[in-house]
Amino acid sequence: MTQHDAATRQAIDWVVRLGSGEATDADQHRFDTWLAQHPDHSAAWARVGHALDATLAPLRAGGNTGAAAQALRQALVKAPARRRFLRGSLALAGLGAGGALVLSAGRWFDGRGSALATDTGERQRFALPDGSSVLLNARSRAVPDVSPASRGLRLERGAALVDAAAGRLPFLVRSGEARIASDGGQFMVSRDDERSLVAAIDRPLVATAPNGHAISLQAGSSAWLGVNGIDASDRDARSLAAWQRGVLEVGDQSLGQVIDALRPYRTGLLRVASRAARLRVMGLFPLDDTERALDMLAATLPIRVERYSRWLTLVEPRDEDAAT
Amino acid sequence: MRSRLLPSPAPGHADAHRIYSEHQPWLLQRLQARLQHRQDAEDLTAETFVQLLTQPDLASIREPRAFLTTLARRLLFHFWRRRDLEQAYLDAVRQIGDTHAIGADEQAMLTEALVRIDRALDGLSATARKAFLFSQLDGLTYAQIATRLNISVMTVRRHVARGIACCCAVAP
Repeated sequence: MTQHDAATRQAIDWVVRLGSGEATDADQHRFDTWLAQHPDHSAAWARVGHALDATLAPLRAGGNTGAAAQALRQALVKAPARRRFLRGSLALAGLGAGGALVLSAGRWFDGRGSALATDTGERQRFALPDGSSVLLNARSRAVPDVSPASRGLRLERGAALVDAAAGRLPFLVRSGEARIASDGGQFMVSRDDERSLVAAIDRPLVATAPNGHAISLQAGSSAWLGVNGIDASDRDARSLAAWQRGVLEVGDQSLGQVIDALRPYRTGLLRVASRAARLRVMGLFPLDDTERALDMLAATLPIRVERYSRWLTLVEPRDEDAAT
Repeated sequence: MRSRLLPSPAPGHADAHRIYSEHQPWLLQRLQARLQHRQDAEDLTAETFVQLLTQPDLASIREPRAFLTTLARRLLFHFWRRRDLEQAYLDAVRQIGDTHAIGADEQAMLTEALVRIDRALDGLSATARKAFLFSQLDGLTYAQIATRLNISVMTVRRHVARGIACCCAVAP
């Protein structure tokens, strides 16, 4: 283990003693004396406190992440025993056995094969072999499918702005079970777990919902495609695609939806309390500076934004509203 | 120790380059046979090269493949350890019955946090971790923790002290 300097060792001793539940007034007095004795002491004390806070912050998360923090804690306590098993199987069967372990361990991250993908806070344009191009919003993934017999892509997550070149074949985007066919022109598709949103920007297109219902969308209009069919959207197609310029255009949406749109641009957990999530929002917000976007929201809505560390940001209703 | 000197770029890098270019395809293939995703194998191969750069005295390596295997093996172990932590976390979520939908990115963030804390507390047994967390997160007294875990108060004190020292060792 790392050897700490004398002041750090003493500070650790004090944390241990004062946290025992049996510290006396005399202990407290001696601690005060120690702390005042030398600048190294107060510096060491601050350092130890900071190290503990920094390490344990994710386990301390309050609010609706309580369950996540609890799960983290359980996993952490179980880790040593699981690891013995892991080591054992490594030693017994060498590298080979691990492959099976990895396969059975399940994946959180989808396979990355030949997919186009963007990370948090990143927008990227990709050229496709047929002359079309696709701009992916942050934290998005798409798998291109361009061959002599077809052209298009499968949107796996996030949002894609497609500039489809005119061609012999329609450009086909699959988003879950929904399908969007364009003869050329610009359109945007975004998806969440349940449904997809499609916006025809400069040319009409044909959108088909998972249940087979199809609609011809005029340029400038947008629609939701879900398992139950097509729902009209009153949002302007260009404003839905404003993320391409790093702007989030919001015209009377819930704060929950706005936070959803900010999330791909922010590292760490961003949680909004359900009561705050229902508030209505209008305005333009910078995607590339989520700190400022959150400040702007807090300035106009009865909410407060609590930043615990870069790991956790909570958006809560402001106290005076909570009391009523 | 806190700071470690990195080797100077030459002449070790030339040896590293030679070893890498001669054996990279072999290592990649070997890792690929053991990992589900090509990208993971590529990442680990690249990471192995980075590790290679920090090794002193590369010119004296006689069995580059054995050496690369040793490096890759350690990385692979960390990789699995991470996967295993993810799995432990998912198991816990299922057990707690958390109905709150957590996106893949949030899960990735949580895994990152978990890996960090797990690494910080490396070497602490399950009991030691429990004692440390009971004290730091729940504010239990050592006597209460001792009763819960059926260990002595002295042992609780030792576990807590060790946990704190571990956190101090990794914090920037």
